[in-house]
Amino acid sequence: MKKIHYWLRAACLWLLATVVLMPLVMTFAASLMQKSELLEHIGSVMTGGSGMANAPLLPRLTTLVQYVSLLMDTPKFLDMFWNLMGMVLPIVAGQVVIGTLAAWGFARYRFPFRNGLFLLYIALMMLPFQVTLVPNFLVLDRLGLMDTPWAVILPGIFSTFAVFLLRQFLIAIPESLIEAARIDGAGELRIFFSIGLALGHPGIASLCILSFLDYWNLIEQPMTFISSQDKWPLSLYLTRIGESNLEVAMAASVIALIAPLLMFFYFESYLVKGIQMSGMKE
Amino acid sequence: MQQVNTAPKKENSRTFAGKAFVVFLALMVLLTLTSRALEEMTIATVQAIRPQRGSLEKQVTAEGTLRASSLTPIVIADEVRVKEVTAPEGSMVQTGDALFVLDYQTEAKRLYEAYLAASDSQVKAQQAFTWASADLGEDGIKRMESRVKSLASAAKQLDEDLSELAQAQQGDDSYTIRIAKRNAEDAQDVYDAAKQRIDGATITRDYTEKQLALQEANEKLEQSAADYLALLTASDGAATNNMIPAFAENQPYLRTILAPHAGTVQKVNVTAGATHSASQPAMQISDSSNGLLLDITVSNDDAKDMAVGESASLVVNGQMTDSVITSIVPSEESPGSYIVKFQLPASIGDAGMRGTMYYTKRSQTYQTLIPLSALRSDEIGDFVYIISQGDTALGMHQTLVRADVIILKKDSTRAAVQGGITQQDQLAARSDRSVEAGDRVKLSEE
Repeated sequence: MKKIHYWLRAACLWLLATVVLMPLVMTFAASLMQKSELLEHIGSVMTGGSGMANAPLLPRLTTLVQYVSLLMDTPKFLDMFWNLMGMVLPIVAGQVVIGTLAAWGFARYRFPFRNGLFLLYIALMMLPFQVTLVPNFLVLDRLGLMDTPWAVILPGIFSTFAVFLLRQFLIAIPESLIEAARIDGAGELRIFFSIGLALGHPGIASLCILSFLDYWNLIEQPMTFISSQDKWPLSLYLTRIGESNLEVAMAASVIALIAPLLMFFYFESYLVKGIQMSGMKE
Repeated sequence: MQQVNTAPKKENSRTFAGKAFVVFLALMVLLTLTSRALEEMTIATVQAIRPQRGSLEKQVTAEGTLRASSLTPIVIADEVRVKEVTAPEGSMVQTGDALFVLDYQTEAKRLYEAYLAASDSQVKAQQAFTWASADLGEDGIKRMESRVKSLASAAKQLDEDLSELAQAQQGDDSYTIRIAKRNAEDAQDVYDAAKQRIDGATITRDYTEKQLALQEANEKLEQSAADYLALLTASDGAATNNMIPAFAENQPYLRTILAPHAGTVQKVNVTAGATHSASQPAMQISDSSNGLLLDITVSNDDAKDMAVGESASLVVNGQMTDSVITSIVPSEESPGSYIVKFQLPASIGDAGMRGTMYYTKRSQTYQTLIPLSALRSDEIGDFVYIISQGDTALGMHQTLVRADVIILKKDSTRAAVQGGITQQDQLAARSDRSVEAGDRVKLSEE
């Protein structure tokens, strides 16, 4: 009976995994298809026709032409990739610096309206982007940052999510450990660097991966604040898949997948921990 | 239950993922550099322009040389050796300047030798005549002279009668013809008898021949003397009636031909050391006294827009003046080109100076003017490339689309065209490499 349960559970998990992984496999298989074959399978969906899309797992005739076209003949694609990198990496780095300091303050120091202020942070975190779009737009316009990568980077750096996440990690550090350090004569900076950062590095790591994955898929911010196409990130390209460039878009999706996938594998253990911690109650 | 320690395995995969990420970034850098280099090499950069409405301004700038409005030929009737040419082609001369020097030495020698031969013949003929006179004696001479007179009289009568016979034969009167014929026959008989009398006397005939030979020798001598004297007069040597062989006395036999007026030597047909041919003028000198001509050679296209009577600015000798086109004629030297002529006053400069023409003419207004750099042509005809903007996921892509056009008119920089373009179209002008329809291009920054 136990064995039956085991196999049933395994079958369910495999089924779920298959459903989850299917789009990924389909995308990869489609990226190796010729355009005619691709249109034959999903063309009716792309053109708004009445047919059904089907997705074979193996292409009839494998081709890497679209990869060559994308990586060798289309510098704009690679420019978009670096545009995205140029936004995501400063955002992640900035969040680590700003978020760590702010979270340490919220976690370790007592000051008037601390809880109220943190509540405000959470409230801001809960607000969808569309709500803060106009204020953001006005501020960025006043600062003269419109149509520059800073229009995306600066609001990203000061994200409330980083503060919230890191506070959950840093607040878990035992107060006795900090008291002991103070008794031993450690200053506030020493305590922050030697205890806060040392014990909070899983939180920082999980912030890195969560933030990287979040901002790798940036769409609304660049679409709103950046009008020059030569400054657009790769994430915007992927939203503009059309019938004319279907096979290239599939290849672009696969390439765009590589960086977050590798980052995920690198920070996998921290990511799980971070998600666990972000769900903890104070 | 056995606990499996998965930490080292996870650490390995983490390390692998980190390295793979670095390799991935390095690969992307490499591909970025490569694709940019490939794009630089394969995609042409073109300058985009838009057609404009306006008029063409035909501007023609060309140079020519001033020349006199008339030419004076220097004619030498003698065929004589040219010793020296002192005024080469293109040189400017003043009145009285030496043009070239003729050497009459050979001619003089030949004429003097002819004179001597004639003189010798005359002496011999005189001697023979004297001897013949002596043989005949005084009576004989008188008799011979009488016979000669009779012969001359008979010959005269015969001529008259033959003339009358010819007139009578033109009429119908047979009687008159018969009478005239008889008269002529009679005159012929008289003439024959007189001639027989002279021919029958050998000495008389010899005397007559000698007399005729003497007359001929005298005539030859006179002619030789006249030729020789004429030569001496023509040359710079002093003319003499004594028939001195001047060449033998080392007198100059050179004749310097002088310029009749100031001007530029336009054409030289004589060469030092060669014999001048009398069939053509030795030189031609421009005569500026009647004004100057400026001939400007222009292309067929330029000439099409120009017309006689139109004005153009001329710069001659550093001075600008407006002048009217007097004629436009096809160029003989360069087929396909035309010569635009201007008549200018003599005071403007000298023949041989360079003059520059600045001709400007504005055309009617055209709806579509494009720079010539955007106009292309092949065996099908003239065309332009329209830059078609394609908004793709990777931004704006520019491709070239061919549009055939008809050229209405053009000047040195722009052309008025009609065809499949509008003023909103962007056209590809200069490009850094050759392009074809359908090619992707980049727009230059300028």
